[in-house]
Amino acid sequence: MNNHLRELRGEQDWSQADLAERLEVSRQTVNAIETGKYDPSLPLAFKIARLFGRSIESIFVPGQE
Amino acid sequence: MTRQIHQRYQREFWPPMLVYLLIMLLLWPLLPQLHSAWLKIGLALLPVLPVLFVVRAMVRLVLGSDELEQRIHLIGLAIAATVVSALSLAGGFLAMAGIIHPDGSILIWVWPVLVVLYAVSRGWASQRYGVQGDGLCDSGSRIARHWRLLLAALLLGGIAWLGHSRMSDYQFGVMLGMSAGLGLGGLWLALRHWYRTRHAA
Repeated sequence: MNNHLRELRGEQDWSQADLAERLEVSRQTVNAIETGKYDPSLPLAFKIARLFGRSIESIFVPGQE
Repeated sequence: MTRQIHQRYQREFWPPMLVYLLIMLLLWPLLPQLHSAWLKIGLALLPVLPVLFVVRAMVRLVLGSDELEQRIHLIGLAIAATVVSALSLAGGFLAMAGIIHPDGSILIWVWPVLVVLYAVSRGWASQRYGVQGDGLCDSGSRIARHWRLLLAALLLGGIAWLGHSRMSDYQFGVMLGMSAGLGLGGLWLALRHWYRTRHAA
């Protein structure tokens, strides 16, 4: 799954560690999500959406299956 | 994993491991000298007590991890449990066929083999998710992991060398074996770190 997490994080001028702290996950989890190697769970996706004030669909884009 | 979780794990893991090591080095060799059955049972099972605390630390580590870390732990444990189960099944069939004749002491190897396979497969799972290292947060330490392992190896090797005249062959063997294991692990991590640093530049 693709996502715009890196761009959104950049708009806030947050490091991966900053975002990880706000989401209460590890920096490595943030990196794995941004690089598309890991798709977050629904609760975490909602948390991300709430943090950036966006809908889940505007942040996460399903990849081609 | 937050730094607090990682530091808590270190605090909860190393003291019982140290106690386990001291029991195996200092008390376990006294077993043949005991004549009372209850004392023998008590001393034989004594190493299990600190191991239970280690297990508690590991459980709290996993429960305190985030979702990706828990998935990596799960993959590591699943692979390790499957491989160890398959090996014990194969060993069991060979023993039933009379091809090998293991005694009960082979059971002592289940835990260390499981732990080693768990660490290796957790490292592999971490790579799949682009997580560096073995998926455990290392942000709590100021000293790189490979240096810590090499220092521990040197320390154990030094203690074994200095005290070998006062040790039994068993104690000396255990200390040397652990020193060698830690040294090899540290060397592997150091080489990997050097390779990655060189190729990242």
